[in-house]
Amino acid sequence: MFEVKNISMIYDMDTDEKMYALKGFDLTLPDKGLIGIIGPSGSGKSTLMYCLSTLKKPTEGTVCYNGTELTTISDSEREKIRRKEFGFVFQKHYLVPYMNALDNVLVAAVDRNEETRTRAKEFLAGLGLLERELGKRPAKLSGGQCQRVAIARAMINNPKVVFADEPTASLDHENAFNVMRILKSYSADRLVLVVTHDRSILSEADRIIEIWDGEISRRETE
Amino acid sequence: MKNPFSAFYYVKENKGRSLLIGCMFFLAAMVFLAGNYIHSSYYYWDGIFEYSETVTDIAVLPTDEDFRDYASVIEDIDKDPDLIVMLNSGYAASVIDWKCTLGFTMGGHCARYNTADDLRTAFRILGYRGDFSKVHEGSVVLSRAFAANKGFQLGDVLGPEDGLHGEFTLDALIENDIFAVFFVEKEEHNLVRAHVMSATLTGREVRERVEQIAGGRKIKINQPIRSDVKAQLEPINIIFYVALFTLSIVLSVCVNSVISGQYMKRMYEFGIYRAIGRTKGEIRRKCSAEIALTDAIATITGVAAIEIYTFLMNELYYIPHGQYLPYFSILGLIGLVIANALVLVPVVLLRGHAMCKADVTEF
Amino acid sequence: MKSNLSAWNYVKNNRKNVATMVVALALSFAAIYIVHMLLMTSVESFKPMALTQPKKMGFFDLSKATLDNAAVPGAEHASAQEKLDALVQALQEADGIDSVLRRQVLQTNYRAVVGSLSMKVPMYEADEIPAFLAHVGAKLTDGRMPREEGEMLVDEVVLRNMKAKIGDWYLPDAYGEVFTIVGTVKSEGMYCTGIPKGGTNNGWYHVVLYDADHSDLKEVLKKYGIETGAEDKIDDAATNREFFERDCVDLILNVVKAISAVVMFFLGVTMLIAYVSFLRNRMNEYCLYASIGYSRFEVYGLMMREMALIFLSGLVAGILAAIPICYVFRKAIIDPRGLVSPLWYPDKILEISILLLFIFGLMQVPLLLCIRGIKTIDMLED
Repeated sequence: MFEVKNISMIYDMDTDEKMYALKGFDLTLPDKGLIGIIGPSGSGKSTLMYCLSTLKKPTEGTVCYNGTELTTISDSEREKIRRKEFGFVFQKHYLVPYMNALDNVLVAAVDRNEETRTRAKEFLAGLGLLERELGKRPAKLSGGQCQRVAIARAMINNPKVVFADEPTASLDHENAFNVMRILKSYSADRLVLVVTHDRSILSEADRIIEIWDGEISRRETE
Repeated sequence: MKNPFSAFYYVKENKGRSLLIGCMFFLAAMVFLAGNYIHSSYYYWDGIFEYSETVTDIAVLPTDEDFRDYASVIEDIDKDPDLIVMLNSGYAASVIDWKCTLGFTMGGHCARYNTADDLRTAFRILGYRGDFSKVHEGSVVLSRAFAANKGFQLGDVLGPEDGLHGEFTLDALIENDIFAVFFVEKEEHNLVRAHVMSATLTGREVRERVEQIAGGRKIKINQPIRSDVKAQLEPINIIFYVALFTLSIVLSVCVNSVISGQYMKRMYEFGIYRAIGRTKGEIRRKCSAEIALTDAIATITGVAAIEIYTFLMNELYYIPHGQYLPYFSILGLIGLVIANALVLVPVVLLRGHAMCKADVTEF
Repeated sequence: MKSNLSAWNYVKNNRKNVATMVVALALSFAAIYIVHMLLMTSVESFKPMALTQPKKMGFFDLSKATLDNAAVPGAEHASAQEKLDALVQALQEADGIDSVLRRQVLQTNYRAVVGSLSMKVPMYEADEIPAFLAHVGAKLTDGRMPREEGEMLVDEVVLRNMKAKIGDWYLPDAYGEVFTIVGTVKSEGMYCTGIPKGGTNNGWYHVVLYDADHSDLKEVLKKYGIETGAEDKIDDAATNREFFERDCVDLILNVVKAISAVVMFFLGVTMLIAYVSFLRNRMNEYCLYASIGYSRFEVYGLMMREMALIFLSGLVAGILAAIPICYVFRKAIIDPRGLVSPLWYPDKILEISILLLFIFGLMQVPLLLCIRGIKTIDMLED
């Protein structure tokens, strides 16, 4: 699905002390499976994810997604891909505080119809949220519940790729395990990329990529 | 199905925040009331303008020796079957001031008639409604609104202390709103001043006919006073616009700052929208729609409140005191549009632009 | 212990928020000041004509009824006309009165930014004009003295206001093409005069040239047994002063007060809403101060210092903005029309400052509510 060639991300280009977040490496990712990207803080793992997901443009190199060169297409085409093919789960759930759980999921939906609404409810039910909790705002939900709503928001359009950036960092152990279980089941026929510094949550991962100081140091496969 | 991305959803779910901004937009709507107040000063003059445009007032010129030209023009006008000449009638120096809605006094128009019949003929042509049967020499006639403004009643004797040159009895009230004084005073000597009217021709046609008849002869034909009075009232409009622009800028600066604070807190929300693929155009439209919707609600509420206030003030105070606050004025409307534009446009442009830059990777 | 909380820190690092309030204050100040200046143009411009002119010249036209009842010394039982003649004779011989002549008058129309003033213009014979000019202190500055019927001398300021020049008709809209301007004079009281032509529309009056001590004609006439009433036409220093105070100064000041009230209301509400919003955004900061040991009183002191700095800056910025704008208005609108308006109104600055102080006081409400809401940081919501 993803073909990355010689990708580099350099910050502070105009200064003498350039900062290399990514230092020119190649990477290939499959169509499905749970891929973990692990590394210490500042290693470039989040930057890699942003480059793959079109949220950032690499300074050098190319990123091909299903044959499409993401680095050369226009902003509107990138937006279309994000809208229809990608889903995002972040460390903090970033739910809209004035929308209830159901509306937080529906706001990301491409189609606005009854079918989508029903699908959103089923998603949330499948993620363990009760009917009465669907009408609650994020302030009334627990951290784990909020993260599950965020996951539902990420998956409402059935994206081909789900990018999860430290999805369990602000959760307790039990909720972290639940979230990883959901992502693992989704990865059965989709690609799920999980960026984390916590190796323990990647026990079910199909593949682990270790990044150190902007370079891939090890690629493990289960 | 409700759309969580819509502006209406945001306003409905964030009533407190929207109310705060709405209050500021409500202030912008108050400009409409200010414009109506300014325009109210024209209310008193509309009847006078109409009078000066319907009745042609002619007078002798100082250079017309022995009033020869004046006499011959009068004779020729009299021969015209369409024209009615009222000798020794015309604008008079006596004037009664009135208090306008804005609180200051204005003085206007005063016309004398040589006989009560002349006055009744004139009023018939002008379409003034009222009972003028009791009007005689020594009568003064005012509109009902004018009399209420001054606190006069039928039968009152008005004199120099009221602004007239002599004593006259208020014997009739005109139902139409005209703030002019009409009195009947027989003048034995030729005042070399006359009103010319017509039951069949319009005011403009009368004036043109008189000018045609006069030709090159020395006679003064007074022009309608609308443009002259408007020129004198114009500075008030200018001051209104100066105040309007300044207040709108003050409002705009404050609204922008308050909205900016509110939207900065929502940066991550817009970052998420960008991340999930919402286009910049959609985000700009969302920001614009939220702000515009708040403005629309506040403006409609403001205008509705103004109309209710106007109704109450007119019924309870202004009309009983011979004053009037209009419900609508072009000046008020222009002020409302300008105030809203000056407040809304920068806010919409800046917020929309700022929110498009929201980047979830920066959080 | 002296507080280390500095108002300057906030101002320096939050220029946008501070600028919002400073700009709002400055603009409101400037708006009120500029409108005041424009409207006071009428008051300042009309002063010479309304107050100075009648100190040397007055007019009267007595009714028959007044003359019938008058007890003019030496003519107590004479007819009205004889009494009038006796009165005029006595006035001409009195100290402080130069001349009393029954003459025709015209009007002059002096337009300010708002409103206009109309004063009487005495029309003399050609040989009487030099004495008139000498009495009122007017000097010929351009053109020539009137020689023929219908020729006028106009004060140069009035001429500029009329947007006319030598050779033009004098107020053709009012008098037709009858009177021609042949010269200009310069005088403190903006005097005009001329030679009559035919009859005028503004009547006949006794024109009295007097000194300042005899400028109250009602009192002067009283000494000669004349009790004036509403039907008599008296135009002197007292009547003009009364008219000026009532119909010009009071009116203008009331209008300015109304405009100030509206602007201050707008400003007050807007500032209140903006300030409430700013305070809410800084609650965490204030709670942090409370958590690290500053008392509520010290935090209140900080907020007061910040607000005082903002208000003072707004006031100064308002003055600095208003004066140049007033100068531009003066050059563009006021001077070309022969009008007068000073740039500096210290009374108005004081008045606006007091109004701003009132708004400053109004801000105490959200401020004190905010102080009450300060909690230590462990009680803050995420």
